Amino acid sequence: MNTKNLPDYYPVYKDLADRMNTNHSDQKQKDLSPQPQPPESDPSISPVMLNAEEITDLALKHGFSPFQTVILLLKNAFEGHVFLTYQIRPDQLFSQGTILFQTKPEFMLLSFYKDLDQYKPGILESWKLLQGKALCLSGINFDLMIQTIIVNHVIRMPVSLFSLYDIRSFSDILSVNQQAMDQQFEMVLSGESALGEYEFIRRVNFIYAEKYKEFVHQLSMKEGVFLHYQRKLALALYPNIKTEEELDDLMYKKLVEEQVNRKYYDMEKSDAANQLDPVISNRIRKLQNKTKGLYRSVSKNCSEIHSASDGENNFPELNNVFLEANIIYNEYVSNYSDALLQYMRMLLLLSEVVILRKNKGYAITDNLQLISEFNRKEVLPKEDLKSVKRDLDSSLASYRMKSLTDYKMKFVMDDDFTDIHNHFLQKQMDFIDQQIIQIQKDIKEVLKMKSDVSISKTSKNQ
Amino acid sequence: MSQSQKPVKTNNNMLPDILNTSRETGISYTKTFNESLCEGYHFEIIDYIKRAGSRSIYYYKTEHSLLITHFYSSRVHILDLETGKLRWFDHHGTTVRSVCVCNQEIVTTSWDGSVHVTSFESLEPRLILTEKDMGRCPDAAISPENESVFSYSYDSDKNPLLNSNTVREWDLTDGKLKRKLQLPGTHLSSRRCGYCTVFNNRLFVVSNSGHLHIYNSTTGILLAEDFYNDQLQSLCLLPAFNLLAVAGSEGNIYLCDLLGRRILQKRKVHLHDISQLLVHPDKPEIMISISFDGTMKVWKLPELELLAWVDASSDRLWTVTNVNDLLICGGDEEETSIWDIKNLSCPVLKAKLVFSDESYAFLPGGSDSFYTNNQSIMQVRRNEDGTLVEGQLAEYLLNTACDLRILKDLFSPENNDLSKFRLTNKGLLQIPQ
Repeated sequence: MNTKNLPDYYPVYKDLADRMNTNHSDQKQKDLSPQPQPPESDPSISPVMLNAEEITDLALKHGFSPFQTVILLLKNAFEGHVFLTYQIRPDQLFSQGTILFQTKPEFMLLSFYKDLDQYKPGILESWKLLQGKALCLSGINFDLMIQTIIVNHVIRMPVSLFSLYDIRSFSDILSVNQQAMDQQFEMVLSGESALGEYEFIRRVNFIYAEKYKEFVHQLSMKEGVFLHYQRKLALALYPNIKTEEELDDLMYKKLVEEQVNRKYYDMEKSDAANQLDPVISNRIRKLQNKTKGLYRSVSKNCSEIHSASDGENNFPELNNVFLEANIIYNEYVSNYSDALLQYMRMLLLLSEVVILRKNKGYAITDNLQLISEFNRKEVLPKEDLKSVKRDLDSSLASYRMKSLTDYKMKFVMDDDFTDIHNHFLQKQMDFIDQQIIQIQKDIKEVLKMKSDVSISKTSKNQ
Repeated sequence: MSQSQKPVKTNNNMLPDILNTSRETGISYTKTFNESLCEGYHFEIIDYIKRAGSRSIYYYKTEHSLLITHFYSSRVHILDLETGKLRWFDHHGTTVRSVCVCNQEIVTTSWDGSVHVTSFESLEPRLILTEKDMGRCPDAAISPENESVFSYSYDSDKNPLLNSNTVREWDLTDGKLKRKLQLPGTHLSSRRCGYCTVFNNRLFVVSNSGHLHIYNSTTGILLAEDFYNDQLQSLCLLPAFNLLAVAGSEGNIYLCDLLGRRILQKRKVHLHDISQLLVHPDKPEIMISISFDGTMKVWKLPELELLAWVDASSDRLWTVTNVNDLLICGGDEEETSIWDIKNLSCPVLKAKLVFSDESYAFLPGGSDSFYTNNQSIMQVRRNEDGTLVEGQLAEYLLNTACDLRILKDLFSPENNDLSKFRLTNKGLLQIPQ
């Protein structure tokens, strides 16, 4: 399933262009006289980078709320960081995404958050400038506001989604615990790092499967056949099995047993999750509820696929996003790190679908609950945070190994190896073919020998 | 070899034969394409790659990580055995002689005459414990409540008038020097060695002066002293038997009571210096000794019965530690060896581990695979004539044989049964997921 070409970040110049276009068409509706210049010709909306003051002025001029302006300032700092660190312009960032896909991948948002302290004073200055220009911005807790934007991963999204958010909810009088805030930030870093690693592995898988699709599908099928015969050979050794029919019956019986056992195993797994410490299960539940909210938002923003008639697929990207959302949502969660990765993946998917809709000119379903309360006061035990990081590292290492990412990377990144890999993939097909033929022969031979022995025993007894 | 290629006995007692033959058949089927592709080749580290040797190895169970310091490098490596990721720091100016972890912090001692306390997570140094007159520091011991660190140093390096070594107690909270103990006795020669450890409110110290000293670790009062006339280098507490074992440059192991007053047994067990004694944490009746003679020996206590010994190195061995049923030992030789001691009387060499600057390689014995975080330090040779394979094929083979699973599996607490794993893991047949 490919959602990998979808942009996962909406840059400042796009946000500004959207608003100018909206204002422009509003104006057009009000006044049918010809417009002096279309917004596209305005240099401020081309993919150039603006300084904080220019952004503040433009934002105020075009009616962005102060909260939206702060988000734009933070995004602008991110884009500046990306340009300085990776020499990637905002338009490239929009088309390539926030993961720098190379042998040692770079996760740009993670890198920005790690260096956030360098950018915060500048953003604070701009905030003061904004306070001077816009009315009623006193009594706002700047740190809480920035923390809320970061903890809720707002930065990826178009700012138009936050037009109704009341900046007064970041009131100075709200009590906060700095340690709890720091922990939340730590969790954001862990989440971004895990998401980056996860997406990198998926992308390697995807590109590999695309690049070598000629073989991948066939190999996968042959391997399934091979595993089937391996199991069959093992069952052929059962004492009472002497004929093909008996063997087939036993195979069927085992298949049913396996299905039953799997269900039982799933039940056991969910029991294990329920047996977690109540405080931790409560934390997991809260995060899963947030994921559920995101899932609903993704689904609502894929509504067109439900109204399409049978067999019609006019919205392939939306279809993929919706299927992906269901896969993520239905995944089994056994600990907080699973829940965190699930949440981050759903969030990424939502940002992708929202940006997709923006690009295609589809309306975005309103009332996305993107900003939620987060824990400002409760300090988590240090060991809990460590165990989340450990679990994330461990499950991502397993995923990486299972996906053979390190192996595939060479054949994905280096085109010089395409031919030689194709050559060996062909050899691999031949290898599995031979193994299948051999194992089939062996099964027959085992059955024949057992049946011969049985006949010889019977004749001796007679 | 598949079953059809093997003659199958036909007799009345048929089933066991079929089962046996088919088990072998099963094994041949589980060989992956990549394994068969790499057959006939072997993988090794390129000759000119600088190898660091090992001076101290510590297994940090909580994070399932190995911490390694080196004989030819001042770098401290941290290898995550779950993810295969390698991190490092270079806080010391010269070689690091010991490493351990307490309170999620790495405690290292160095020839630069200091003890460093470094965050395990960020690798940022928090404390540097040293004094102007502190000499080379081979070892440190952590107090049982993790509130202090006892550093052992050769202060005569800086003050030739000093006749003995020094132990200092430092507060781990703020790094303040709490106590300084000038050990009684006189150096037996120009060689310096020694070791200290804390147990039950007592600080046990051995030294190249030939003395064992036992102090009250809270008050610093000397409780017992004994002289062995041997430059003592290692000490190991055996609380299960109310014993302690000490060893030194004569190759002797001395067993004495925990009060340090009575030598119960003295045995010459190694040709040269015994550099470390280790009690198996899960098997208190098993002790391991390593020596400059290159051998590692497994002993059953309290009889001190030799269960097994292996030639672990052609050079001096400095350090040994355990991870589950594995013993990891290293020294001057460039490779660290990993031994399986599930069967105590027959240690089996499982793999070798080599570190070099920012890279490492894990080379299992009897396998066509390996793992490294940097394939450019490896090369491949044909088994039949030893010729070097070069070009694209070499790179292809290296990429194919490099597999993190072999590292992860060996150190896994469950110690996975490899054949079981193969039958249940589709990915091993190289089909992309």
